[in-house]
Amino acid sequence: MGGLLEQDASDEELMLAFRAGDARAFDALARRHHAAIFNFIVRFVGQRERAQDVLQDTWLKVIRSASEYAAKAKFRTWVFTIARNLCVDAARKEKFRHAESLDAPRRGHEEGAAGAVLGETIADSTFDPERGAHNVTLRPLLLQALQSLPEEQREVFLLREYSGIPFKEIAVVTGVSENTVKSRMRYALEALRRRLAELGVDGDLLDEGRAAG
Amino acid sequence: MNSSPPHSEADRLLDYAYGELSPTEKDAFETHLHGCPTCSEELASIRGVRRAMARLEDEPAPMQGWESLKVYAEQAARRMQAEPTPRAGRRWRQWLAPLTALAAAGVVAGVAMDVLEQSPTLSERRATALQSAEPPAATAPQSLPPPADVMAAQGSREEMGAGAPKDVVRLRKKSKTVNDDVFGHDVMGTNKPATAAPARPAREAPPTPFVDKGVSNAPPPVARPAEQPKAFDEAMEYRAGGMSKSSKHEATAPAPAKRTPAGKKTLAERKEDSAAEAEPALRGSSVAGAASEENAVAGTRAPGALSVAPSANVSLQGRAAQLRVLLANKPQGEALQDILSELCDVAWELRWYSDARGYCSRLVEEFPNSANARVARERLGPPP
Repeated sequence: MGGLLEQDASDEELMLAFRAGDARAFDALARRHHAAIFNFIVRFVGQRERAQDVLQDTWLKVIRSASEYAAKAKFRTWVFTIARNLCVDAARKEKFRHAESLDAPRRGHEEGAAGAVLGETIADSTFDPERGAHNVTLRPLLLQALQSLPEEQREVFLLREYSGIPFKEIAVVTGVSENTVKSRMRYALEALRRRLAELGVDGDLLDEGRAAG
Repeated sequence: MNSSPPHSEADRLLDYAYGELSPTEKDAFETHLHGCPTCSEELASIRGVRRAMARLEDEPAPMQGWESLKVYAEQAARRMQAEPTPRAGRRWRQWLAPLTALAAAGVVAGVAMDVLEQSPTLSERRATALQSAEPPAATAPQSLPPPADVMAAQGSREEMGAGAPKDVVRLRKKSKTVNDDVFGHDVMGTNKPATAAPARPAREAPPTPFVDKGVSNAPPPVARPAEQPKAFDEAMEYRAGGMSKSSKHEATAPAPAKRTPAGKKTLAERKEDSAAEAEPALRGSSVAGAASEENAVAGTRAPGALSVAPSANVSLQGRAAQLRVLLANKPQGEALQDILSELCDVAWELRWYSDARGYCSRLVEEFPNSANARVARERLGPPP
């Protein structure tokens, strides 16, 4: 596809090139969005291992659905819709499993990960001692605050705050109105403010983080 | 954030905080901001949360399986190059077969009814068929082929015979022995007792116009290649490589590994008419689910029985039976959504409104944000 793989090729151009049969376009497209989509997923589902599965499912679905991609659709909206729907399914599955395994330790099944609460799992799975003392303190708290949000608020916050998707596009991704999206965003911000205060993530800790960063 | 500004202002405040206002709107809001302590306080609060949450660094994205994914993408690209025509509106065409067949049913209904009336056995079967979703035509002689239009509409599935991947062909070969189960009492009796199926009124009010579901959560998959390239299997290792504990747990479900994708393929086949696709083994399914898959494939090949019209109707009722079996296997996630969505459609088409409402309602409850749920909601809206 010649120059189309250049940096300035839009996502939509790349997707159309892939649909036309150029696999390199998909490679360029996937590399461009891989990290952003993974981070959305991992913060949504709260566990790196599961996030990897969802990430793979997302790209497989993009490939499988490429022939249906409409040129007028924004690729980012499209791929985040796929990722978000898979996250919702994964979260629902997890709730089901969690409900099933509530009594598991008492029944003699293996304890540990199965019995760990979500926040603990996230903190453990994302702990990286090489990232500095600041992360050891702050990162688990921020993740905990995120995970304390209801799913519908969390997805809106993640899409706006970290993925940089405008509210109007988030409405498309989540299948609700823009007003609902903004309402959820307000609730999310308010809930985070309270939660961060409860966790002691305010002035001192942030200043410490800035110094460490 | 304690004393929130009015919603209109709060919305603009959010837009402002996230840089979504146009330059003119931004200037106007900043003017408002200077004279509004509530909004100023709110903005400071939002910025505080954003500042704190911005400290959360990105996780490094895993690259495992990337090469396999590329192989899969290359194969898909080759397929799309070979078949560049987009298949828009296929879901609409999906319903062409049953609708055309139902129209044809009117022509031959009299003949079929006469045959049923003359045969006590068949009459009994007709009565029970309303409860067990078993078509009366199942026991009729297999003679008449479907008319050309039905063939054309159903051709999508038949086309798979020639170009279908080996696994589908294999399933079809096996299906000969399970055809009876698909349309017979045994399978339905095992999975769903006759008493559980509510008696359907002989006639109900006409349905609201059928609503094309449009896009589902994600667009249907691409066409399946005529032959499954070996590299595709390698690509599937991509998924296996990143399998989590939970996925592994699923993979240890009773279903043999080779059959795992079968349950999903059935749904994919339904969605895309002829375009069955080499879908990777993403999720587990039970043995019964795999058997149902065989049944589903068999169902599409079930020869016409008593007449053209019942044959077409059998297809829809048979599909309902298959879906119920799949549902009885307690699918999860996307598979559950697909099954409920199709059951919502099929029951509605069959005018089993009571059942349709049940399936549509469950779809809305379980997957409230899905495109399928929106369609179901529309269907539930004006009662027929």
